[in-house]
Amino acid sequence: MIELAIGIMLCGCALGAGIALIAGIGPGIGEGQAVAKACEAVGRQPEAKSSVTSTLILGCALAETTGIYGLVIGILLIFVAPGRFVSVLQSAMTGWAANLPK
Amino acid sequence: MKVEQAVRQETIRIAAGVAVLTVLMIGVFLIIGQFSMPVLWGALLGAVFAVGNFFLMAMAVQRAVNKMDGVHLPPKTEEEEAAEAEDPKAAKQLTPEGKQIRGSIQRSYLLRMLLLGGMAVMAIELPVFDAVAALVPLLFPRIVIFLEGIFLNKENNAQ
Repeated sequence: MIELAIGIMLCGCALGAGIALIAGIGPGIGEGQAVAKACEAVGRQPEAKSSVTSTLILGCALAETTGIYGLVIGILLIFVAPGRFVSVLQSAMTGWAANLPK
Repeated sequence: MKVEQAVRQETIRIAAGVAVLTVLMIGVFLIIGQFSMPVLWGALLGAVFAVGNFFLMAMAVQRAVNKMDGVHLPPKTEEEEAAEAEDPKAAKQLTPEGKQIRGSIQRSYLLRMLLLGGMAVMAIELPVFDAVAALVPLLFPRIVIFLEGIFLNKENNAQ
């Protein structure tokens, strides 16, 4: 039974990591679109270049943090969570088995 | 490649903010009694990568904006603006230069994410670094921009 529980847990971690890493796609697309449109605006109005660049840098940094957040969660789910969850589960199962009436 | 004033200025601001927040984070580790050398190294690694990632992103934006030097697009006509206001798909359409820039920014984003992923794996796997202390500073630039926005708004309101 514990093998099944560990399997379900690892499956959940892998699925969660995959879903979390999907969060990295959106900022990439959005950032590309935003920079492209801003560059077009600079092409139409070159005198606004410096102010557009400053605003764009901050906007891109804000957008990018969402991707970084997803990346961090995904990596934690792949590398850290399985080990922690399995040890918690094993200790819980050991305690539960010890309390079973004989 | 020359670093422009806007990039330098924003990077210095973000670096200063990240440094302050990193010191605060180390202070929190000290208060809760979890401070150790791996926390210090992890915090340094995270702060360096957070600022480095911001700088690389700013350089990618600068390169993209500089590609438009010498390119003069005609101003939008009223008909074009009205069509864009009615149809959101028309507003998303890009010129050939815009498409090229979008591709370069997306490639740069992918490379930076791979770099950060490698750093995160290193911070988790190597015992020299504390994983939490290394990963939390990656989110500091957003907090710095948020706080900067609040303080600038207050200053503007006061004036």
